[in-house]
Amino acid sequence: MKGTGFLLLCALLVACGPDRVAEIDAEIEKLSAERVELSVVTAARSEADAAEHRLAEAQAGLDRVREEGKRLANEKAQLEAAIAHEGELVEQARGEIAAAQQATATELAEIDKKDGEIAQARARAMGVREQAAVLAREIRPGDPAWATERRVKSVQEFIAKVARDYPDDPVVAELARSDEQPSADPAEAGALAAQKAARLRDRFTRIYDLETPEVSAGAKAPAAPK
Amino acid sequence: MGPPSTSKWMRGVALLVLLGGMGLGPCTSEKELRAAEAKRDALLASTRPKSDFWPEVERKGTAVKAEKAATAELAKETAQNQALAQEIAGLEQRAGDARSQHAAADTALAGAKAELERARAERARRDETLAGFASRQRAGGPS
Repeated sequence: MKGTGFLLLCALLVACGPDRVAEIDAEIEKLSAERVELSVVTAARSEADAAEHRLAEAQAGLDRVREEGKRLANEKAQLEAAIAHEGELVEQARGEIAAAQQATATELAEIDKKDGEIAQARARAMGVREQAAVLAREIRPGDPAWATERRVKSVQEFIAKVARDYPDDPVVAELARSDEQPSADPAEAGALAAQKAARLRDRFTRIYDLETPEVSAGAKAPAAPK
Repeated sequence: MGPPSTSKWMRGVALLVLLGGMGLGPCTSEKELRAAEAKRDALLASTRPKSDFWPEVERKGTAVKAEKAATAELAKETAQNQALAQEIAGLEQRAGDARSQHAAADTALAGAKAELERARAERARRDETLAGFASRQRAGGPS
């Protein structure tokens, strides 16, 4: 019985060995489920590379646009600052123009005032000069004594009046003082009075520039004394 | 049929199986095995694990998504830049106008200052005239 069992076992071992083909088929089936074609993987890799390349280009483009945006924003800020600065300068210039125009108006008013003072001073001086000239001309050597005495007196009164009107003038004061002791000789007194009147005429002509062309021509016509 | 006949029968069956197995050999042939192995090897050579494939798909998806976002951002910032460029063109015009106004104001200021200087000079001339009257009036000497 034992020999028979052993023989049967050997027969079964030899006849029913493992089926390798079936195992490999099973392995193939499993591999087919777990793996994909190489070309598919390669295509997927290429597409991923291309997508990343496009992404890199898009990002590079975005970087460029952002840089451009920064440059533009900076340019805009500079322009706005420049406009504001120009506006401030314009306002400042307008303020200075207004101030200069105001100062000019003040100066022109002063000029008008001074012109009036000059005209008035010259008009007074012109009156003195003309009166002195008339008095000097009226004293003539051949006139009668009474007439000469009367004109000498007129000269004395006139010089006294001028001395009152121009108290700061030492020459006029000196002429007025010298009249306090007149000469006894009418002819000499007349000549002296005529000389004084002529001195007075010439002094006022010189002091007030009465013979300068502009005054003589009337360009700066003296105003009437007030 | 007693035990000796049963043993004889089993021995016969074993011999028959042994003879049958020896005569047929293994369950499959060597040729089929090699073909199966070749098929498996070819499969291994022509394929890659899915673990190699899906990361590529994911990489592509991530890149496409990011590209889409970058493109949208690019369009947005390009539009902003165009708007900025238009603003700058307007500002350049305004800056030119402002510079012209400044130049005109400077010219007007120079004119106003010159006018003021002339007026001051004229007033000074008149002051000198009046001062000359007074100083000559106070001075003695030959008349």
